[in-house]
Amino acid sequence: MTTTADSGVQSGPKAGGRSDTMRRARSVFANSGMIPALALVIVIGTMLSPAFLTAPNLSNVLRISAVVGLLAIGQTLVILAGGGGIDLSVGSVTAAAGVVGALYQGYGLTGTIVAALATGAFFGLVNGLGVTTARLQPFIVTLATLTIARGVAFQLSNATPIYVSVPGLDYLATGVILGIPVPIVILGAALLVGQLVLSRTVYGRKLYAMGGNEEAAFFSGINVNRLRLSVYVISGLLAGLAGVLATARLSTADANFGTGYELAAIAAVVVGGAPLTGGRGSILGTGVGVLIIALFENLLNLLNVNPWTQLMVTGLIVIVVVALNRKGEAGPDRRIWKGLPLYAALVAGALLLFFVL
Amino acid sequence: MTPMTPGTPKREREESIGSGERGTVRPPLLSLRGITKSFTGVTALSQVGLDVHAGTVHALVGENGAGKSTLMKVMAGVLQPDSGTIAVDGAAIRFHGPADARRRGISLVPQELSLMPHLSVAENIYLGCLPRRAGLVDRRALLRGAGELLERLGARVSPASLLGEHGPAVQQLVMIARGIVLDGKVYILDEPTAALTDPEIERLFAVLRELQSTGAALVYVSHRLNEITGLADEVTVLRDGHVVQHRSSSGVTEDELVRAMVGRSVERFFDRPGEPRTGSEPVLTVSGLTRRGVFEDVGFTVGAGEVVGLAGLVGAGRTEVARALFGADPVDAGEITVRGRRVRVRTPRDAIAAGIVLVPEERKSQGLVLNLSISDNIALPHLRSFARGPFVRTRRLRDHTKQASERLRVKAPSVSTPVGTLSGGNQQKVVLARWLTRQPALYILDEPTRGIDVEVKSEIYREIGRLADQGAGVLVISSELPELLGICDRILVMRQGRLVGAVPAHTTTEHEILEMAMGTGIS
Ligand SMILES: Nc1ncnc2c1ncn2[C@@H]1O[C@H](COP(=O)(O)OP(=O)(O)OP(=O)(O)O)[C@@H](O)[C@H]1O
Ligand SMILES: [Mg+2]
Repeated sequence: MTTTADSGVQSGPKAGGRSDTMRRARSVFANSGMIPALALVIVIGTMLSPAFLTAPNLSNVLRISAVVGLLAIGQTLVILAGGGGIDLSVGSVTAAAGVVGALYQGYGLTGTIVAALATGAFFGLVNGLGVTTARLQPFIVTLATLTIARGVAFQLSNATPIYVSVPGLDYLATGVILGIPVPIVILGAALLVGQLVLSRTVYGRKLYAMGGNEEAAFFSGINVNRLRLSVYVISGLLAGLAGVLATARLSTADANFGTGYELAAIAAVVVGGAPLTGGRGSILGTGVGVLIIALFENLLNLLNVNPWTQLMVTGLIVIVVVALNRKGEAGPDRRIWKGLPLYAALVAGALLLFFVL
Repeated sequence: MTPMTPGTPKREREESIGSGERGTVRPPLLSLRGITKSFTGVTALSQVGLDVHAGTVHALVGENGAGKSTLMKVMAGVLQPDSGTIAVDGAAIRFHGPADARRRGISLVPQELSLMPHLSVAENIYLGCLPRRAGLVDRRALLRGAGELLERLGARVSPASLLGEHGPAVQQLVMIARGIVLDGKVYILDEPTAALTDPEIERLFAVLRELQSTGAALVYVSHRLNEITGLADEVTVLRDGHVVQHRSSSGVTEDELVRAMVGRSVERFFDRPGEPRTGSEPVLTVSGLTRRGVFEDVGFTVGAGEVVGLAGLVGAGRTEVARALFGADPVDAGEITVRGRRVRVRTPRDAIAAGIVLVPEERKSQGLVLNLSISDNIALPHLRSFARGPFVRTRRLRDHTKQASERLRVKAPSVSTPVGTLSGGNQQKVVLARWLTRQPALYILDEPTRGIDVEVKSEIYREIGRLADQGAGVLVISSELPELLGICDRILVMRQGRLVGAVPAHTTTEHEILEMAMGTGIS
């Protein structure tokens, strides 16, 4: 059977490996979306504050954002996996893992780390089982574990911060590898591994497929329950790791630590271009999201903006960036146009708040 | 009207008619001129002109991806053309959305199901125009209206039942009901019969003729060309976004249409060897398969190298049996044996491991991940075989999937194209291409050619024959009886959840099968 020239898959002029890498590059760009926004923040920051674009400042910002960064990586997987996936428990689990780790400081560095990671993985497992076998909604399950983990942290620490002195632990906060602080190295490594897993492995492909259409994935013989369980466990594990880093930085395990971090992580994911409906997004995008938010907050600090205004401005940034980042809309001009009523409402609110009252 | 040569601008002809030779000629209800529409990288329509006249049925035909659905969406205000004009009753108009078109009496029944599974059937039909009384939804009027409409279409379902409980055929009828619930002038139907069996199609045609007799115009797409010759008054053939022919449908033959669609003549055939293949040894033996309230005591075998058809009316339980065999639904009783080994399938994963694969009937919800590429969709169940360690070997996967999609002529700029942007028929090809590379014991194909154009259909029939020749068993569900008669060795007939007969395809007739399926005895 002969095939006519126009049947079959038509190779476009740029078909082949080359265009594929181009496409990937473009899609990474589109998914991480707000690389331009990141550039903008850096430019504005440099103009407004001389202290902004200096190595010590940047290094400091990154070091502090390592904890939220790790949580955001786990959050990306959970959201990407679809089915309304979200993990609200990560902030509390970070605190609980830190406290449990501190209780095991008698067993040295390994004991502390293993205990913290196990705590994180345990809460992840509970979340995962709740979502898969018990068929509860992710929002509800993780809202429950958010409360439980916080309670555990307070109970185990008697609501007083536990001083931690484990030989070698401070290396995780203050150590330097090739001139780069260890927390930044850990975050960078996690980002790279995460991106590699998503874009290159069988696991990653399955995750995108399940997030895009769970039924089709199920019909393709993918074990959707196990896959979904796994993302919650990974998210829990990363929260455990975040707990270790936090303890190392503060030399204490505090049951109050990490309040609201789950929201910061979710914000980073959506700013990074992943819709909450799942099936889309990338770890690199999340990385950019973490950076945008961290740098912006840092800039506001440097400018001595009061913390309450900071809260408002950070919220605004999330709205604006995500509105600009919406996929599936024709041209950027149209997106800006469609966002106008929203911006108008926000501006009106600001005027009312600061000038009328 | 005479057939026009490809490329002749239609406008000239219209003007010559319009310029008074017949005195008072009413302007067409809907008239398109120079419509062009591109998507990124694809020109779906180019300089398309078309008139739709009151009281006529205008059929659109063309290969998969020719631009039929796109044209219909432009007519119904769902898509805005890049250039060109639309006139309603002779007055030029710009639609700002489907609601706009609907206000002017133009309604569309789209190709892909777009319904709310958690709402009732009645609410789905009246979505956007719920009957109201004193500001509240008038439930009584809603149920009554929906009930009457469903009755007319021959759908035996309660209007109060949840839509999600019903299969695609009923859902298709609901879509049609939604399209005709408001009185309109132009009804546009995109492959309305793809999910239906003959009796429903007959009912539908009766309803369509009724609409036509009230002076409405119908625009109609179907790949079942025999429907066109029976129903349509005019035919427009699209190829690669161009109108290549426009003619009256009287006297047109299917072959002529195919030649216009494809650009050359195509040998259409059903690929069945002269001798029926008799399964030497069974690859699949099913006995006593029961899912209470859905199907009862189903038992049959499929032999190696045998193609077995499963016929029945909408709601007979064919798809449900297929889903159960594939582990997508639980069963209450029954035994499944594959190649002599008793297997337990509780999930599709088990079924695939046991050597059973299914091409599901609902490509959009069960088959495809719309935002992933053609490549990723084809490779989805086979990712392991393209991996080294945990990593996917992208190059190999691409080469392989490219081959698979070329075999079924998926029309797309490249295999990296997201399947969501493909035309309906091309999406179906991707679902099929997914399983062609495996060598399972048994293929279950649920409506494998739904929405696929004539040429590729032949290709798929040939492919099915090839699978059987390689020793696989094939179980085909199809609502097109000629298709089953053409490609199968044996046909099983289901009625109301029970197997009511098995006949050799060589000696039976459509009539005989229909009688078994409907349960009307030979009087
Ligand atoms: N949203 C979209 N984005 C990109 N390309 C699109 C989009 N919609 C349609 N196309 C392309 O436009 C062309 C025409 O598609 P269309 O759906 O109109 O075909 P069709 O004639 O209805 O085919 P079928 O018989 O398979 O339903 C195809 O090449 C398709 O890939
Ligand atoms: Mg179509």
